[in-house]
Amino acid sequence: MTKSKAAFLFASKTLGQQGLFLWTFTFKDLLAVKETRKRWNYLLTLLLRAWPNLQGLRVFELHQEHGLHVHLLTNQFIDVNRARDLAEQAGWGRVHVTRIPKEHAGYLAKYLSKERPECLKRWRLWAGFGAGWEWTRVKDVIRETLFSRIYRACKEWKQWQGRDRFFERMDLTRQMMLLTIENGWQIGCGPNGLPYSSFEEEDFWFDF
Amino acid sequence: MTEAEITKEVMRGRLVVVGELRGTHAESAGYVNRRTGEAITYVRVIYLIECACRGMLDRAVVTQKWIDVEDPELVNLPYEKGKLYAFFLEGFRLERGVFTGWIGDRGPEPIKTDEEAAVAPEGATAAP
Repeated sequence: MTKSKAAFLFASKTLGQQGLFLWTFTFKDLLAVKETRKRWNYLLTLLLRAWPNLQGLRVFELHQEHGLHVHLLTNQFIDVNRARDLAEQAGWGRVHVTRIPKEHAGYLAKYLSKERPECLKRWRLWAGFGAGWEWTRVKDVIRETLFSRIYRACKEWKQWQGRDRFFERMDLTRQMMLLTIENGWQIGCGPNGLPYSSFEEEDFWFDF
Repeated sequence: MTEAEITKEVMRGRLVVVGELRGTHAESAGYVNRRTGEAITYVRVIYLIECACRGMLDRAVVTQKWIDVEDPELVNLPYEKGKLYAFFLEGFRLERGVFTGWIGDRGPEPIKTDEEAAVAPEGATAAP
């Protein structure tokens, strides 16, 4: 699971405290992804103008044959016919909506598990919208794994700051993780429970 | 599992990596929401093996998600350090020379040498 997907699941939980509606917006014709995004921005503007209290989450899905689909999770019942009119005005084709139980709020996360297509690099695959609610951002999520805990210990030891020498940091953290597993060390400590700083870094590049 | 059985699986197209087990670690991995304190966790086991999957003998990591277990302390890992095991991979990643594989429900399977395989189980008659 990626951090982004985890953030989406947290956000959908927050949204899912109320009744939820799942929307899918598609086109009759196949459109380029950039054009689709433009039309989505226009449609969202129209929707928020019509329903200023509308809150939700949007997910992009690049369909194998039908181009970019937009899925929405909203927490408010809105008039489907009116929404269809607005979708038509913004150049959209089919609109499908269904009510879902709050336990299924994370359903759209399955689209975030797909491998990201080249054309969606640097795109936000999902985003929240609407005023009056705070959706979880990726920066709000902390990953808790053996690797991340060892990374934090290494960061303290080496006084890492900023983002420079990223790959060297990864290599050192990985080496420490392998040694921790192999020798059964306490997480974040070297042999005999001593802090990493009690040793020279070179010592860790040889087998214990 | 014998070498012949592994060869059979490989010939069928199964993705298998065989390596000497160097260590295991069960952990509760996941994500924490810094703002609300909520967590999404799962139990994951890391197997550290030594193998030549990249051409030279090196250490590689294979992970396994444990479903239906919430406490990593409850994970039973009856594996012996220094023994050869086969890992039936669901997928793997090679990034900057680092091999990371992942397996499904099927855990590591010990490899029996020809001599071990030839030893008949208790109560059975020895092979001719």
